[in-house]
Amino acid sequence: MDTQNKSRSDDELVQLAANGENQAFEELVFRYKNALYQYLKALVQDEGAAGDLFQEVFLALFNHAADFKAQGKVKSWLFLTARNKAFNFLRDHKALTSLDQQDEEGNEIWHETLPDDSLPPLEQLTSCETAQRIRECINALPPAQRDVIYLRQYLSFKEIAQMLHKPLGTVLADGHRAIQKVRNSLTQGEIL
Amino acid sequence: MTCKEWIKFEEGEKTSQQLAQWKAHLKTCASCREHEALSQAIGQALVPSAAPATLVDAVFAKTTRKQPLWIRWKKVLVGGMAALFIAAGVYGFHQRTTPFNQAELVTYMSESNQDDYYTFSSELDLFEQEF
Repeated sequence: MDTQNKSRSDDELVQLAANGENQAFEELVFRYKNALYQYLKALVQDEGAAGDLFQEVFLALFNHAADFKAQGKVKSWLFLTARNKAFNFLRDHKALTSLDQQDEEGNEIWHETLPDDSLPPLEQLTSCETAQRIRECINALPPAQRDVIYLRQYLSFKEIAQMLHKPLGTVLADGHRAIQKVRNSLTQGEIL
Repeated sequence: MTCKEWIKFEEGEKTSQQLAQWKAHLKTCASCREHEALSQAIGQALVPSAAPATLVDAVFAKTTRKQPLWIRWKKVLVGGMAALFIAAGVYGFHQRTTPFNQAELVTYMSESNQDDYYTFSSELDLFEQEF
């Protein structure tokens, strides 16, 4: 592996890959493989399908590297492509049950998402916080909310908003709503 | 600023002054503290595990390490050639072992005898000329 590539920006690597520099493309794969795989696995909840989509995302990058313009958006492009492919997969397999802006009870959920005054103290919450339990709670969220939680691990809210073409406030509200659901699930001792 | 407004601030987007205010607010607000703690716990719970190496290899096999067409078809070509040789061998063997029918045999023998005769005759002439 070319050590020079490790210090290069995503944009530089894509430009080099477009010019046939294979090691630059491979560096991009190594840079994002874990995050993208985890993101896809979280969205489709199926390791085999996540693996197939993972390959499709990087094949798309390889085939369209020449079309990229240096705008610092390679990471967003990768996650957006992964997201689109995952949602297409879910739609085709009729597993996409809740991409609209309503919760399970049919309420508009995407805006009023902030904590009320009846929150339990932090100490109560931490008693049931384990990484496994949190992952279970997140994986039990509707796909759109799960999406925001996972995207937030790799992108800023601003980048997510740009990527999804949503107002920043909406994305922030989505994220906090999802966190609220996880919190409720953890403190009530039941998975959503 | 209310909790509702505070919570909308992303840590990276706060100014240093806002960050200081936020930290001060956290000391006094249990719900924001809890929210912050949970955000961090989620971040720790979702640290990505490694993607399987086979997947990465599969990507490279289809892109940067893609073998030329003739190598990918090499096995097929070798198999095809072997099958062709075997078929030709079987066909040849079959041809050699197929018995003549009577008419073919008579024709063959007469032609062969005639050829043999001409050959013998010409060789005899040459022999006589020499001696």
